[in-house]
Amino acid sequence: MVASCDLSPITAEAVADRYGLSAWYTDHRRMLDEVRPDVVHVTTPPESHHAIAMDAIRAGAHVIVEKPITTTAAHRTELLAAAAHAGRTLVEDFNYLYNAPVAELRRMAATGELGDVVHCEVGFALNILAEGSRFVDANLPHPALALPGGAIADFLPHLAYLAHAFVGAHRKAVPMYTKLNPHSPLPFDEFRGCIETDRGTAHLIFSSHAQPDAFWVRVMGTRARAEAQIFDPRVIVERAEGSPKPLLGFVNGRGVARASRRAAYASVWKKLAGGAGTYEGLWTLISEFYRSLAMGAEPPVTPRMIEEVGAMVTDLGPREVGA
Amino acid sequence: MRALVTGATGFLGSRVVCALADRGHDVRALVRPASDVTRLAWPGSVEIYRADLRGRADLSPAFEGVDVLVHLAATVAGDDDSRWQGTVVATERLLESMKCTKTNRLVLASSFSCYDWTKAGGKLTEETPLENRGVYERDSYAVAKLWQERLARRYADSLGWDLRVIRPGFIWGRGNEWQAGLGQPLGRHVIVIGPMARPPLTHVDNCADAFAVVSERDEAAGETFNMVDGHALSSWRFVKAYQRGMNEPGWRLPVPYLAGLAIAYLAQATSRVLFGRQGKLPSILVVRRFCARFRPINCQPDRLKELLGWSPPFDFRECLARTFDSAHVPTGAGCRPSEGRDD
Repeated sequence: MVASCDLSPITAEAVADRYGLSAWYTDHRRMLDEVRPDVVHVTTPPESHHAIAMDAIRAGAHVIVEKPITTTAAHRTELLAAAAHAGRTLVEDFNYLYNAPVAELRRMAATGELGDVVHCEVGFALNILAEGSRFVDANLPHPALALPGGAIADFLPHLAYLAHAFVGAHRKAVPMYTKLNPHSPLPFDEFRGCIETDRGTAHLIFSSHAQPDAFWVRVMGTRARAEAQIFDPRVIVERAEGSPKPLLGFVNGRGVARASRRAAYASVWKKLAGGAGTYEGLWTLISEFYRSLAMGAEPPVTPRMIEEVGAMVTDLGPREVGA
Repeated sequence: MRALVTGATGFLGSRVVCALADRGHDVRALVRPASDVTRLAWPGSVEIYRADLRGRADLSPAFEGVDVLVHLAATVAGDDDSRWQGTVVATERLLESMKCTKTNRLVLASSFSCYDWTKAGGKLTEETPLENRGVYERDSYAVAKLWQERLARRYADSLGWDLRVIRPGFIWGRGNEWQAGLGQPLGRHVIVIGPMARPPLTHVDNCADAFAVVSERDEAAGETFNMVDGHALSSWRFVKAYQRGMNEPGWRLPVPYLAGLAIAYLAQATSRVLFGRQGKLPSILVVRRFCARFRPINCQPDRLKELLGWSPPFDFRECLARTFDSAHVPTGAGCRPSEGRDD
């Protein structure tokens, strides 16, 4: 790491101090001119992604951008085209794809262990209405509230890229936004989405009210059903094969119990071990990104994935409310 | 004197506003747009200026006619980034606005958490080194308060401001009765760590009085003050008074400081062996944090006394009554107790 940049000088300096960087800036163009970085990580609020990433690409850097990569489809296409034209790699942060439980589900889907995937459910239960939540700070509105769908738009890319990983690009998307708490400052606090693709279907859920907090991916295949929990990592698999049919319930039940018990102990161990916690996927994604640059290989998030997921997010926007 | 007070609706700030007003000063309270000030029982003379220090609005109009900025705003709750934004970035924006005004006196509420407690001998003074080598082993509140004080000193040095820094110990009072430096509660029971030590406590009304005095007195120019009440009171006795005051009778289990520290060292060593430097432990088992929280030290408000002739206006009995006796109507510094946050 060679430099940090933030509009707040003290923040840029503190980051440099903490990580032993030789330089810090408050103007990203000046940083690009003086440091000429090979890679730029854009972690600013969404509305600034396009301009900063474009400048970085023009300066010859590869870029990894926080989700959502841009706030409009036109900007997304323009950015991808600029990266392709400049021969630079542009990656959107689809971090949860690389969390160990999700990676395990992807492996099972890719190897055929699940059979043909016919449906997937991705869900977030997160109390973003709780006191102290940045999404309901009446004094300083969260940047995501400026996006269509409000705070839910901040989570939509996660739901979309996880569904995309198992059932592919959508042909039809039907969103449903609702507001259960009439006193919340958010335009919506619940979301459901149905996706239809060439390979199957997906159901997307965001709930501000369902508790306890959880983040899960459930994949249904013709040979097995598997569920990955991301906040408290675990993978639970129920198979349609491998034992006589009358014993399937018993065998699967034992497997579920064993996996749950192991996961319970592992969650304590992981907390004590430190590391990235729920952001473990981000660490892996970043390391895969750098590895792909070093090897000249395909990046962990391809332009096609960015386009298809972006299109899914756009079509899951709240335009159909009341329809 | 006209004072601009940030963090004015907070636990300490709401009392500082009253303490300044009681002394006949004009007070402008800077409060967040959505804050409810009606519950605070401030004198009618207190002027309200609404702004959020984390926002991008120009704050220089808040300084119009202001002689002294009493900067108490900090974010004490939330995640690391919230604390950083609400404490350090907020201070940066505030001082950047102050730069364009005629105000040149700044009273900053810093914290005991800024000290390097591993270097504090038996006595803590204003000359005890601040945390430096192990900044990022401390909790995010300590990190933010350290950078906040650094920032204020830089502005003051480069612009010739009169900076007065007050580093309070553990501030207690109604609405903030328990102090983490006393021990570890387990339900109604408390493990009292270092039971015979004298915790660096300051009652919120004494602390507010000190802020008012430091803000107004010329002798305080450019000085740094540790702020404790200096009452002859052990942790053991305070916990007993706390349990009685809260009407929560329970056991007190004494654990000598060195025994607790040995456990923290053992836990940290085990974590290092098993997980390397990435290992995580509960805060109480991180050695630097354990020291900062429980290290027995002798600290007295000597500099406040020597330079300003200040002594705490309320003795421990009065502080207890102000905190736990709901029928008690306090007079003097701090108006009526309120429930506030340091925002």
